[in-house]
Amino acid sequence: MQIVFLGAPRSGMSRLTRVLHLMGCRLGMTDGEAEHAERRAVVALNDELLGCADATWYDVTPQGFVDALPRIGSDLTQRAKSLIAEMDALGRPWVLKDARFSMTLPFWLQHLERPLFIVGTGNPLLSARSLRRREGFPLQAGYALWHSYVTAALHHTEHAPRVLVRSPEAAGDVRARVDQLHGDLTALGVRELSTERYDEIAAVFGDLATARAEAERIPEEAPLSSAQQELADALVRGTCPTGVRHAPLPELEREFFARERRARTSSRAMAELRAKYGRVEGANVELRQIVKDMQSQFRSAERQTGRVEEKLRKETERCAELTRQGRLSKKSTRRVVGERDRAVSEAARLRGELAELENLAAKALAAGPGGVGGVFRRLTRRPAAAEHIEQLAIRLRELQSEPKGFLSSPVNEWDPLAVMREFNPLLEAWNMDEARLTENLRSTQGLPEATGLSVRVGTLYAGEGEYEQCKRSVARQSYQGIEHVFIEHMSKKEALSTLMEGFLASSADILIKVDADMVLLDPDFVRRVVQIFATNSELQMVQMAMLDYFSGDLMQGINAYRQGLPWLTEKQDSLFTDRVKVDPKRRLVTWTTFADASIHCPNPTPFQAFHFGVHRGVKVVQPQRTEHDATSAEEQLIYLEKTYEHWRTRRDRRLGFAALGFELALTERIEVEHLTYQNPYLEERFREFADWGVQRIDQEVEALRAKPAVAPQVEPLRRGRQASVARHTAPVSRIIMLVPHLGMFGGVNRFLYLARAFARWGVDAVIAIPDDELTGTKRPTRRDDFPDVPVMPLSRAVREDWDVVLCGDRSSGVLLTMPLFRSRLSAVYLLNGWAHRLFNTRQIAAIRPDVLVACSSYAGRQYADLAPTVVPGGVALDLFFPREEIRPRGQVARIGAYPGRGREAKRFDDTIAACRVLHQRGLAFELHVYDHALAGLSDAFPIVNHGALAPADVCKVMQDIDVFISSEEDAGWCNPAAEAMAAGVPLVCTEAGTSDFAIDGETALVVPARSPELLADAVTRVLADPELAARLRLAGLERIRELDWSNVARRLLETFRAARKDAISRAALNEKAKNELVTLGVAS
Amino acid sequence: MTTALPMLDQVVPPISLQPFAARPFGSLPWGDTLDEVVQFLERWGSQAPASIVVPIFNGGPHVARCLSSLTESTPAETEIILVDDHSTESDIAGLCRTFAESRPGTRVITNEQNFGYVTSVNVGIRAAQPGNDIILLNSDTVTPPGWLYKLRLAAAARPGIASVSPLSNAAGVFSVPTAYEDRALPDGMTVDLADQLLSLSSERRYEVVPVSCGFCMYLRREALTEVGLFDDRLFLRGYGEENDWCERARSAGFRHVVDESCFVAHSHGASFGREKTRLKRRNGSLVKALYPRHVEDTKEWLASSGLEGVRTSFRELWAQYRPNALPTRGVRIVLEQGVGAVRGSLDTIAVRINEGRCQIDLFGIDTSTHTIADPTQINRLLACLMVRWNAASIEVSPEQRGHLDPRIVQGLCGPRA
Repeated sequence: MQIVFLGAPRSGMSRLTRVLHLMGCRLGMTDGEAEHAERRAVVALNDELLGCADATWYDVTPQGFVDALPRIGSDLTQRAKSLIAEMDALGRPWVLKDARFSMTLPFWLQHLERPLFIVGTGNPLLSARSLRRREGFPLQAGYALWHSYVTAALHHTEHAPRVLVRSPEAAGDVRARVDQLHGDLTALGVRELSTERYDEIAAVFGDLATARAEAERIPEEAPLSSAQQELADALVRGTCPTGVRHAPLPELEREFFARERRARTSSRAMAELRAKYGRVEGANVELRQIVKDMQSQFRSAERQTGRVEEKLRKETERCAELTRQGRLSKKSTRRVVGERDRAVSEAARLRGELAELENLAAKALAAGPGGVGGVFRRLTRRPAAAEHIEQLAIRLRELQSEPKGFLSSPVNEWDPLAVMREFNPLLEAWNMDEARLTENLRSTQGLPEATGLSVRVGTLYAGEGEYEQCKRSVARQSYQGIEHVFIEHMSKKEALSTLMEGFLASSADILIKVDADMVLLDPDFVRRVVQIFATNSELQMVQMAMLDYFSGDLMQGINAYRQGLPWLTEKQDSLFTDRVKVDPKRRLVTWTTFADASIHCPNPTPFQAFHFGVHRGVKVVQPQRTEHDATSAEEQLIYLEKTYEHWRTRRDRRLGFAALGFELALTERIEVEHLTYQNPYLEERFREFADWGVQRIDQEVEALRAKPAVAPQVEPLRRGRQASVARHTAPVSRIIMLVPHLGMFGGVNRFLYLARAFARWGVDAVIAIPDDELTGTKRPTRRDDFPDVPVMPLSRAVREDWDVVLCGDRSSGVLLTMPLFRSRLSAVYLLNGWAHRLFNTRQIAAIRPDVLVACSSYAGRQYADLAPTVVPGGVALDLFFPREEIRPRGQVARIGAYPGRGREAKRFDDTIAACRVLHQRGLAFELHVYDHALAGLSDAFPIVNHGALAPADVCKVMQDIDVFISSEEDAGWCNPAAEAMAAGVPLVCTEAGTSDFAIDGETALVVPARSPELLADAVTRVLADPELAARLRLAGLERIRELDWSNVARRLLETFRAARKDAISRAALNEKAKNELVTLGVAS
Repeated sequence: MTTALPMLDQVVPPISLQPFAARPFGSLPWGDTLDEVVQFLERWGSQAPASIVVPIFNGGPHVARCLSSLTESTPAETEIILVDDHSTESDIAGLCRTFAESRPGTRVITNEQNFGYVTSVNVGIRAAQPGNDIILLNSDTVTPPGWLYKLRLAAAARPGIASVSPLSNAAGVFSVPTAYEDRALPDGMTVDLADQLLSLSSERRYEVVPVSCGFCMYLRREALTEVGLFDDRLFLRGYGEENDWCERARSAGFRHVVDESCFVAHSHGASFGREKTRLKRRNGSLVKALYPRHVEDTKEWLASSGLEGVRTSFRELWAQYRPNALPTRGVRIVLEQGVGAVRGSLDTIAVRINEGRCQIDLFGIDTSTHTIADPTQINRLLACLMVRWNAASIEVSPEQRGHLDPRIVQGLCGPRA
């Protein structure tokens, strides 16, 4: 059966087509066509047919279409026949959908062999409203179109087999409607259809619940005419009117559409003219203004440069003099430093102005016509001025890194020791706060799991190849209660506005914008996002980086918003969409946390890839802007260059098309309006390349790269793009790690192990500790057991350049010195659980690190509101390893535990209590512990305290243990438990710091904290069941070997690399952090 | 006319070869017509030389075994590129240096930092002689004699081949004796013996497969040029990158085959050590996203794969294997005129092709006779036998030479024949 779907425009036919598709109808879509939209070939043919009647789809002829039949050429007839044959070749039943059929059906009836018609009657209000939004037609005009189309459809199909379908939004039981449609079609001879995929079909209707509700809320903004109302009422009643005649458009509406047609034709012609001849007059006006501004700015910049030079010269002389005197008072130092800072910032500002001038000059050049010779002659002096500035910068840098007298140098940064001294009282105060809140935190065991927030996932679709994958990936999400809404075939700006306005008017708590070219890889993605919002009530927006297929790197892609965020449609930019003004403090930007959880454009269509490249290229050129934003352009160029490099490695034609697209956009004039999918310009351009192979694309891309950019201001950036990418992706080669001391503590040992592991990966890693001057005692500058790890004092470390400065949380104030370091990236390592949360979050808020890394999933959960990246580990597998042969259990069982120097959080008391239970149950055992702090420990059962042991000796003790207990209540990473597992000992533990390796029943037995009875039960199970003990041992060894230091170091390096910071942006954040510290009242 | 061909190693187990004697000609992967045979020989003869790329990161004992086996199994003129990915074990540099000194065609590249497996592979490929095919070989493998010859033969078996995989003890779907059962070789079995048993049991079907296995992968230059290198941006340090490459090659119209006659031993997991769980999970979901049909395609292939037959034969041969009766001669093919004009006996001549008749003696263990309907079929048979049994030599009597197509002679024996 050949099914033709016709009816009113914008009446929900796409969704109903989707239903038919799910029932088994073929649609015959080709590459790049949306699955349920009109086929392009059908639309084009119908438009041409209407053209034969001197009509358009909206300016319909009052005479009807029959009169035009004799004027239809054989070529159109042939195309129609081919189209039908093509569909028949796919197999019947098939569906062709286009509202235009309502008008052109007399022609098609001549060529269809066995047609069946589905007439979509729609809802006049919704249809007109959609036409107003999409096309700008007044409501009355929309009603008239609806009326004309529906009457034409009913008229032309009256004597043919047909089914009338209402708007998908219409009320009614979905099952009954689906069954009725299926029954009607079956009755008319379409027997191949089925409703087996009812769940998916119902989902189509389910999606419309919101739209239906909104439709019911729509006020009647303009009345229907009596004829229109009569028809609408009849259709709502379900009666199929007979003898309907095609109603022509009323006079007023006909006049409107005729005008509209003239206007559109003129507008198109004007646009073409503008594109062809350029905006010559506008460019001249702009040019005159630019030249004027430039002259004035350049004179001003020159004057200021002179002043800065003089000031700096005097200051330098003064510094030299003071340095020669040997020392400076603190007050003097601060004053001089202040002056120097002002000079530096002024010089920076001047550099910015000069860069601006250069851009303006480039723009003037681009504008073309003469009259700027004088300005350019002046500009030729610009390099000299820039050189002065550069010399100033070099001198400043030299002053900053004078090898001696750092502490007394007038141009040093803050004194880290002074900062620590002055901050420690504050930390003490925070500690007191923390103590008050600890009980509360203990009772909640950290942050709550996310539940109860309603989530809307919004997807904007414009023909992307990943649409179905995207839908499936959202449908697979573990979070319950997700409403997935789709906005199809609108311009980006309009679609975004529709999405955001819909969200703000809805009852959803969270909106996650997952575009149609994005696929969620992690089924817990939504749950994780909701967790962030649920635990951070201040947040309005979370930005998540994702893996990008084009560049092969991370890019910011998925945004999530909380209900009520500020949104202004009129502020949106049609090129740089998705711009929401949110206070930076209420916005969380993640680079690595969700990096593996989603992917952008894994399966683009070739045209999609080309379009994407052009779009990005236009973002570089920014033709719609009067002022070129060089920073944004460079950011885009870096992205594009990475895509080009990816194309060089991965010869995927689609990457080639993306590269080709952006090189085209850089080398020829492409307007922003060409980017909308409704505009055929890019599709037509793409047809030139669509069949090209890899080699041909490559040649063209290389040829375009050699061409000059269409906008001269882009050319310097373009020439430097390879260097920009190299800078952006430079590997991490120097890391400084801050610790408060070198004592034998797990939190300190971690950094020593890491320094060693980093060195193995070819990275220069150094430990920094506070100078003796601060502590007042001479402390060791090396750990005997880590002689290979370099250590330097803080005061020296702040004078060197680093790629990364890394510090553990809490850290006795060392963490607060992080803003003093010159590094590309600042990273805080979360090593603790809920017990230190308050203290840590305050420090983190003050220093604004680029990256937060949690040392375990457990620690990550306690800081879910900050969305840290979890890098679990580690354990020293060279020190902790199992016996080669399993030791047979003796008559007396050996239980192991680490008392943790008697600290409360270790909950060693619970282990003792569990042992008492075991003793009461009559188990013969010894408790083996190793801790110097608990000498003389005794109880009703035998306790063997091995005292303080070196790690290798701890391993030996563990190798002779039958089961190890860890009863900690809160720990970021539980070293004893991890080490016991690595030593091949079956483990019974709480989840504190163990959740990455202790999987209950698989690698360990896990019990709740503060549960001595359950601990005792678990120990009993292990001792009584050698098979279980052996299984836990083997599985544990397999699991723990992935968490060694080497692996942790490598994943940290990957995280740092992905966080992509540079020294300039880090320095800016450091300044803000210092201001924050001043605000806290400690430093001046 | 006698010409030397690569030797099948000297293993003749005292076991029944009757099933193989009944199907002595292999499955003609290149097609049935004479032209197709000629085209195969042309492809084979015009193949680019191959460079072997071995990415190395630690694992000293594995690396030592791998390099030692390469020394014994690989022609001296083959270019070998060792890419040391900033190993932290001190003996790696020495191992590489010693090996390079012993083989003039070897280059050692040491990465300044640890870049990971995939980048190291790309570094090696970029450093290879331009135009050469590439054999990617993990450093925890052991190669038997003749492995390179076999893989190159398989790479020429059909037009449009992108990659060839051997079988192994630990290669997932390409594992023998059981798929996906990665394990060490059974007691008593050596790498050479496993390879010889596969040589006997395999009919050289060169089955087309959806993916190759990255531990040892023959990559044809034509495909590398068209498809590009391994994607170290998306796949970071490894796992799944070979699936991605294979899918890209398939999209570009290439095919992948498995050489079920070739065995390369592999210590699975040593290549990645402790990162594998995370990398597997991450990159597995990435492959699924990039190729939504990847899993289904692999399952469909598995359901129809003929590899299980090879595995069964392999297991049967291994079950019958006795170490005390290993004949030392290889297969020789003799073409003679007339039934009565045979020189020599089947004791020394393994295959005798006379007019209308082909007698085959498999190592003196089993024999079979096949009718030759058309003398021109001799050309085809000759090529089949050569591939199927890795014949050590071919002798053709003067009377038979008239039946030989010069293109076949040239293809088999080179331009000077």
